[in-house]
Amino acid sequence: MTTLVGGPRARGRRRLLLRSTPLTVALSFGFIGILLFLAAFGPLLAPHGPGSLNLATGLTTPNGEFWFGTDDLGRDVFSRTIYGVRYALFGPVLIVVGAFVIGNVLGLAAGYRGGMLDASVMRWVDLMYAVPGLLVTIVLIGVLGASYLLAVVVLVVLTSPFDTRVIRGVTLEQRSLPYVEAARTLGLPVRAILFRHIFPNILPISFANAFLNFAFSLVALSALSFLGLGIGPGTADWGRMLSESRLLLFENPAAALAPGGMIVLTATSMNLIGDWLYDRLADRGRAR
Amino acid sequence: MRSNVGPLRGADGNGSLLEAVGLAIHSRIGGDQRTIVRSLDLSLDEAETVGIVGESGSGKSMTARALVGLLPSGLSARGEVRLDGNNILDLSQRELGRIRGSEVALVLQDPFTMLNPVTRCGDQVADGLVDAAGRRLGRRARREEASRRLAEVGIPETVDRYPFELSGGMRQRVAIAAALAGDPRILIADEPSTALDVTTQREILALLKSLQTSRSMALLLITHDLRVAFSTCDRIYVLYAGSLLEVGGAGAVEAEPLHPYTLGLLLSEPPGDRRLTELVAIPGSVPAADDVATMCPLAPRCQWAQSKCEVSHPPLNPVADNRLSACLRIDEIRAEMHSLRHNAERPAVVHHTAEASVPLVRVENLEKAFADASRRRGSPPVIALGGVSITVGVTESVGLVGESGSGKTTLARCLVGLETPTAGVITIDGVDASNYGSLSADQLRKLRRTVQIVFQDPYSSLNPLRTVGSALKEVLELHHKGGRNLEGGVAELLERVGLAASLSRRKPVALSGGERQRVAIARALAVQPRLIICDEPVSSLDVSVQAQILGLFRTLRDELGVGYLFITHDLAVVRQVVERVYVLYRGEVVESGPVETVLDHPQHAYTVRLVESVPRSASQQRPMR
Repeated sequence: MTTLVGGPRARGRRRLLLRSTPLTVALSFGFIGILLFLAAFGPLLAPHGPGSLNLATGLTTPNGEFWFGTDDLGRDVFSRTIYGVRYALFGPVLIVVGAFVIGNVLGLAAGYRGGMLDASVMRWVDLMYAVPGLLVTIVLIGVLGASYLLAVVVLVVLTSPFDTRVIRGVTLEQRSLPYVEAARTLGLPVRAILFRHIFPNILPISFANAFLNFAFSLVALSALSFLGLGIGPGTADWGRMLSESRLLLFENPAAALAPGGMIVLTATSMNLIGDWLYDRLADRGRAR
Repeated sequence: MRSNVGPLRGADGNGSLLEAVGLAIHSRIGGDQRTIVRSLDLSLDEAETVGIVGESGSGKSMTARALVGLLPSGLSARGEVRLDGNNILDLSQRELGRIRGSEVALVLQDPFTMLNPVTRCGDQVADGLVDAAGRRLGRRARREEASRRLAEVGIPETVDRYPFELSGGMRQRVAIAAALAGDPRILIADEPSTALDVTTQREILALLKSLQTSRSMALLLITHDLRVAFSTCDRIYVLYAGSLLEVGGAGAVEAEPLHPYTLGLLLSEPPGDRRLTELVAIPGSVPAADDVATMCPLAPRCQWAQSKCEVSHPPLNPVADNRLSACLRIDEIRAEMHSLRHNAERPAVVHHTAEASVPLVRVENLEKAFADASRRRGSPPVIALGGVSITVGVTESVGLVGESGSGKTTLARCLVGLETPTAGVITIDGVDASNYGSLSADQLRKLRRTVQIVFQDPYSSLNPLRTVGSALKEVLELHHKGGRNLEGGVAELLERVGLAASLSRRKPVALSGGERQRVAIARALAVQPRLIICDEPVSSLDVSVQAQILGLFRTLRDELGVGYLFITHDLAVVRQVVERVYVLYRGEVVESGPVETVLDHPQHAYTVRLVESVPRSASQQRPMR
């Protein structure tokens, strides 16, 4: 067999420690499916309101009425965890979409155009890499006042350099392929080459990156909430719940473990799905 | 299958060194079993050179690997491979390890990945050497032995050098020396010269042949090139889609092929010494072995196929002295095949477009230097083009010939604006195209409609995610702003390049290499250019497909009057398509003129070397200098 030049692109991505098997991927999809369902219909299903105090009940351990028990104000942990799904999905999705748009536009432009544009974009990326992200966020929010929206915006700015760098790299690789050079020779406008030709081919990597970003953003947002820098007190946000219930770890462990466990499971599922998606999409149209 | 190798043993006839009987190779991916080689009988005698010839997908490389027990994982072999009374397929890895190197050694195609980059050449060669008592050699003895071995392959000076300091040809020599270190009785060479420049190819083949003679070892040469096999081998096995179609002595097969496939392959390879009136190609492309399991594998592509060819898999039958053929109809069609070959090999007269024709492209003193990123700042740049001047007339076809590194591709890229030249002037149809960046939109559009390019690798020159139809439609739309019937335009383009209109809904992945290259040509044609630059357009295609594409280039030229700037390293190919040729050597034109004058009476020493490197059959081979 005469081997032809080229061959499938090398998989330039690190494998996660936890390899995605069909079972873990199915479980991840199942879990994210449940989350989406809860985000949509959670308020109809939750047995209690997220903020309904029940001071007479006070702190209880899991029982028939309160499945995960209640916290020290008598609020139902189970219901609050369900309400928390919305916050857990909403913020990270905003961050991921924002970083996706910024990262892809800057990365494509820098990788394709090169020259001054590339140099300035990449110096900005270097600068953002050098900045200790979470620390800057904490200081910024500390100065400007705690706000969920501000936390989201700051995280978009902090996340997009990672996307930009990855997208620029794969764009550079695509740019030198004959199909792109053919498009240039045919006189196709730059916009068409970038978005009709190159973009679909790098989409698998952008997508996988978006899922990894989701996991990172969820953890970062929860951490900010935990520190009291994100969402306001009393909100049924997982990070906030974790922070408020951490002192109850011995009285009602479920009050802290439920939101904490949800954060871990959601982040892991997103990572696994991102990895699986990358493998699926990267093979699209590649086989000979 | 019955063992039919009896009459095919070499002259001495007493027992083969290596013998394969009913060797079958299957791959298993998931639950999906595929046949790579159906059933193959092969024998190799002492001091004999045997060639296995086949296109990609024929299973020839996997056969070579099975013979040394080196099949990649997922592939398994059945049958028997006898060596010294052992069946290689039954041996353990440990036993195989003893045989490899000392009995059978393997040389692979790519000299760039075969050697360990961080080990000196001398150590690569002498690493496994032991003295008479079986002890590892001492440092000094090892070095002496290594230089002796490297001297045998003609490069004693490389003992202390690393592979990355050597050229491809030298690396291949080191690899051969390393393969021969254990003094094997059999050397299997899998496309040993394919990845090398033409002039180096011939040296490597000559080296293999001389080593084979001086060591009187057996050589099994795997190649896709019939001419290479004819000039090197004693006997030839022709493999196609996992089945042997013809076996016979090299001279006899060359004189008269006794299977339509061998004939087709022979005619598909354009001769280096003349231009043919018509390029005979085998239509279609190589099928998978399983798709043709119950018929003659060639039946779908054979002009002589009849219903009896399509009902069962034909066995190899003796058809003449020491000749086997799997063609059922060979007795009936022998005379016809003979006359076809006779007609096909008639030379054609080259019609020259008047030399004085209006120049379409004029390149004057073009220079291009690349900054060498691997060296320190301030070091001299690499000169790719050092003052090249060429002209291409309207409707003229011009060849640009040279080895890799000669600058021919850089020149092509400068012409279409993919590189900006350092100095010099390019004029295309009256427009100064030296710097595409400074042109107005109108001028650019004019240039794009005048000159187009077709690249070498058909696999990456189409966007893998877009259908053929959308790729063509996009270009039509761009250049003929909202033409009324885009679908019709696409169908017409596909028809022009010999493809069915229904292909427009397919993505490149569902196309063969030849089909993809046709689509790439159709895409270039969509702007109705006056000149198409073809950068090695057939060199990554199979021989039988190569002839189809060359034929297509000639047809398009006759029908549309489009001219070509044909860039290639293959003199035989260039001769079939162009009228005038420039020979490029290290960034400079060393010779130019009408193609037959330059190739038949080369003046410059480099051109002479290039012309001599075209493989010839044993009868025509000139003595090596």
